[in-house]
Amino acid sequence: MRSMSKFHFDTEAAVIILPVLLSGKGTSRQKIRMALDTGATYTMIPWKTAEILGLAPEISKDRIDIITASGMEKSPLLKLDSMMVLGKKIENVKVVVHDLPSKSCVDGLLGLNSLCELKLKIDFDMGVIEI
Amino acid sequence: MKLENVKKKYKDEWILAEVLEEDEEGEPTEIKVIAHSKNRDHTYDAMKKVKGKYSYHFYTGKIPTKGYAVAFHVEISF
Repeated sequence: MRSMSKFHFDTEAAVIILPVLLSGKGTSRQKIRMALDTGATYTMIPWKTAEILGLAPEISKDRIDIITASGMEKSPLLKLDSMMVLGKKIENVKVVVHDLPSKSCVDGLLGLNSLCELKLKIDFDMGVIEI
Repeated sequence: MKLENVKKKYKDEWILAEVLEEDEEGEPTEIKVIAHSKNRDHTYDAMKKVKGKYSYHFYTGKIPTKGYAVAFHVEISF
């Protein structure tokens, strides 16, 4: 049985950043940093990452409307083969493909759909995330 | 190059690297820098070079940048 992983974060931090390993089709794997976002319905990854993981976002027919600061746009909703967060792997994860602003300094959002499946627990008093 | 050395050498830059070694927790320790830039578009453009490999894309500066607060908001409709 897998033991729980603990991740310590700064309770004063403006945002909680987690390294996430993404795997798509073929041998490509990419680790990026994501902001933990309980307000995001889906996990979000950038276009270029989706492309090298073989997800072909440009030809995806499954799209959803997303409202951002710059207006409304249709973004691909794709299924990632797997994702690993703090040593825990989840498979067939739905992700929205959309580039966050560069000033955010992160590549993606770890959204509610992944957080639920990961069974992630956050202790804000102690600054600990358990998976 | 050690990850810590990359962070010092390319301060406040975006890095695209191939992962050569990682520790027991899966954190990359030894990486080969493929591209680095203050402009994220440049490292995104270089991503085709890491297709088929294990790569790492990250920013070496403080998050968020000093003077900025973070408010991610994406509303999704079906």
